[in-house]
Amino acid sequence: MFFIKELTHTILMHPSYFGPRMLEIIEAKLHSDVQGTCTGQYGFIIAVLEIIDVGPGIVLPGNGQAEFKTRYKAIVFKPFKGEVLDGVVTNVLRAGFFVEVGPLRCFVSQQLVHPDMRFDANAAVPSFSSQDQVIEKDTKVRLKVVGTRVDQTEIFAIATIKEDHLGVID
Amino acid sequence: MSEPTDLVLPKSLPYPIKVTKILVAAGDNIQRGTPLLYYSYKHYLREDKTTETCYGTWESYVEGRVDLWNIDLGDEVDKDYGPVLVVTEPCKHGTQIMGMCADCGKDMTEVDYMSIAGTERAKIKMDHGAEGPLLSQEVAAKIERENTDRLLKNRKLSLIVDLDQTILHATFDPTVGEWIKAKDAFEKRRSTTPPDHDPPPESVNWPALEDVISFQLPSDHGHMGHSERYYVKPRPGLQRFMNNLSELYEMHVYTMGVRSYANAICAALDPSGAWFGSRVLSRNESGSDRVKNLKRLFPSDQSMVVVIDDRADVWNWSPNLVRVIPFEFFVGTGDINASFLPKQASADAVPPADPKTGELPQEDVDPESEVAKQEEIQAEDAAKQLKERPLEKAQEALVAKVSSPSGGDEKEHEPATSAPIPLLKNDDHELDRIERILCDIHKEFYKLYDTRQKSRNQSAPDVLGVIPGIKAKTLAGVHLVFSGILPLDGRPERQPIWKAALEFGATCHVDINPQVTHLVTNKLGTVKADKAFAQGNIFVVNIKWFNDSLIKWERQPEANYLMERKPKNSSQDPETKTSEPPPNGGETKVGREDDAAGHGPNTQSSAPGNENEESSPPTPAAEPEQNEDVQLHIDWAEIDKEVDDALASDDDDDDGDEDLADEDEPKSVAAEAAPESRYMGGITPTTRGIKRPRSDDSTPSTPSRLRFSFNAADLARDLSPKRQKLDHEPLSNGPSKPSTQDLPESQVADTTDQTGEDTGDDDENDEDDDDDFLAREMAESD
Repeated sequence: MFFIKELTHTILMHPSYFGPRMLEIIEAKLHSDVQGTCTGQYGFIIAVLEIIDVGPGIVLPGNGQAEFKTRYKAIVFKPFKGEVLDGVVTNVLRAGFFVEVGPLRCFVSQQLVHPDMRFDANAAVPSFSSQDQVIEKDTKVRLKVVGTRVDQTEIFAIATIKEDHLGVID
Repeated sequence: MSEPTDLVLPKSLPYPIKVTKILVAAGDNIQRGTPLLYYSYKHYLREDKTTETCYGTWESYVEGRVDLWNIDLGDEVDKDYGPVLVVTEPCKHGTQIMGMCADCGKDMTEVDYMSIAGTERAKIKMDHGAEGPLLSQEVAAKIERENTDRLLKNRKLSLIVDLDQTILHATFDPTVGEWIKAKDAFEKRRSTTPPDHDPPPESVNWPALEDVISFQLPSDHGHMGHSERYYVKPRPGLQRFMNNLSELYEMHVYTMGVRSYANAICAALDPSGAWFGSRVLSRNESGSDRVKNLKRLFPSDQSMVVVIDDRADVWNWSPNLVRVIPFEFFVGTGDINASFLPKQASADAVPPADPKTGELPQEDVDPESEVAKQEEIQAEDAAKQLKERPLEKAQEALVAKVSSPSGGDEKEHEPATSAPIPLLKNDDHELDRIERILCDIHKEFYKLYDTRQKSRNQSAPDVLGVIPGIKAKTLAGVHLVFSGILPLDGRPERQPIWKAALEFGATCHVDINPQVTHLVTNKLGTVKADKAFAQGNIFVVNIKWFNDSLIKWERQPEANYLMERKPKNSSQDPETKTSEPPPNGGETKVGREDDAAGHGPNTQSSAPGNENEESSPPTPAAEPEQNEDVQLHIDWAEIDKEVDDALASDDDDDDGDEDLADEDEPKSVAAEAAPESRYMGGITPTTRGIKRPRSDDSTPSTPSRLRFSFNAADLARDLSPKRQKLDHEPLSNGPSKPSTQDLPESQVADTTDQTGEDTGDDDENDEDDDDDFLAREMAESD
């Protein structure tokens, strides 16, 4: 699920950046620092929307660097159990297949694939296939998250396509 | 969800226990940690010498619904009772990934006070890639069953293919690149201008370089750039081999190379993915650096799997393996990905006495540092190749050899370049042979399958039932007698070579009898050999015949391996030497054995490099002369030594060498080597037993002594000159050390003299020890 969330990030500025363009530099640094990262607590930080407050910029005694405690608003993406997501298949194995939902990696076990769909190793590309559907690399699928594993810097999800309205989408 | 789970009591309970109360009934829902029963047990108090009754609780380690109790109140339960409770679980957590159950999303890494962790339930990794989930035995078996069903429907089998030295040969040697460059440049020049210049001398190698693939891998060691350039030569006939076999087999790659290497090879050889698809397993995912295991890919059912590999040891002599003679195209390179593997020192052609039909060795113990060290070794090897350029050297040596005047030969006058011998040859036909064998296996398997289908026998056949059948045809009808090969101590039926003979369909006999058709030996002059000649209708063949037949799964024509009978009372010295039983067997026997192995190692020349190119495919016909040559030298030295020994040690029996003597023929020793036979007769079994290993150790300066009886290692030596080289390198003091053969005779005599004395001394001490020991024993018994 996507959220707009207020977050903070601490930026250290070398004195050589102190000057008229300092705010631009802070903004750029914030973007490059946080966008695309993942925290276990809030999920993936997709995009920084706006900077609410750069902060006072306190010069640290001893080395002259300034510390900015920046508050900003960002779009974050955190998967939840039961959530339905759309993704792209990246790898098909006998035991199931991997799907990428943006930054999130999911695994769909063969037990959570409809029994009609069988693993087909004959094909040049490994795939799960039934009469009218094929799941292979780069197929788009809709899936439902069954469980998530949240680590400090990574989120991994288990998903199913064995329910109504899930599976291959066009 | 699926089948119910049987719960067993943990092994750690203080058995025998008595059930005092059952806490849940059938139909109840239980959680992990729900108490299931109370039990009592007797505890023995050592201080009071009494027992007291204690009580305990057993808690469930799964969640689900109770179906059935297999025990009743008041039952006494022992350790091996088996399942006591049947529970239907909502999820058996049979597929796990990243510590999570892939079916229900439950966290499996939770650790609690109960000994059985959730992650214990799924430990099998069966997909080729590294990122796949872990499976339980049940799930893996199910997936595999689907796989075998599909294969049966398509009338295919699974084939695991090794890369290095089986279907290709890779090298880092930059000489290859230079030759290719020179070739391209030359061809370009010729296409634009008329051919007015001669090709350079190495151009003889060009035709064979036609299909060499070269690539670089991105470096994975942090530092920027690429790895060394790999040059890869596909085995001749690979395209046809693969195309034909992909009709009959579903092929998997299993290599000790790294992932990127495997991918690069597959991309080059099989761009469409028709052969292997994504079924590629590399060292990164293998789970072990040293061994390959069928169970890695086929955890529960190997009945339809055939392996082709050039090394049997990494497969632990799996019966599914069809051995391939190693492909060595770039002479002197070997297997670039084998530095992880144990150096091939042991047997190859014959399985060890009891091959463990083992579990998947999960080498978790392998510490990072170890891997790093080995990777370093590999990198060093590569660097060494870059520096040493074995190919360039070999080619130079070859050119030098051809152009050097070879004493009165008519070739002397011809210019060397007119008929240069190419170093790199396209003369390998191994794949044709393997293809035949694999086609046979496939045919037999499905023949069996069809007959079973007809007879409504649902069980599918097993390749393990097929491969031995094909193997056994090799020497079917052959009645063998080994002479001078089996060690006398120990039952002949236990010897690997004996077992191998049986496996390949031969019938083995201990002694010559009218049924016998072949006498396999590595030397003449044994009693059995004489008997065989006397009987007349027996092929007396070199052990090489046996080895070659086993390797090729084909009975070799005996004519090429026949041992010539030597006239017994020849006036010529060397003749006498060979037909006579060795005066001190150890030395000579080993010498002969090595000859039999085809590439006589240290006795012939201690510089293994030379040997390879000089006699690389050893022609059996040329061997006998060589043998005599060697034996002549050794025998002289040994005789000198004997004399010196006899002089040096007064009446002490310096029989260290006789212990090593061919024990197959004590009679002939007694008859013909009179002076020694006295000692032989005098040796009591005990002293012999004690001394055998000692006399072995006592003369480390004669390398060939190290192996005194025929064993499987000798067979292995036969298989590849490359490995043999590895085998012997540590023994020789340096690559350029002259062999004993090259030394002037007097010097040889001197050195052996030295060792001879050593032996004598050692024996003396030994004897004393024995005497003391006996004396002590007698005193004690008094």
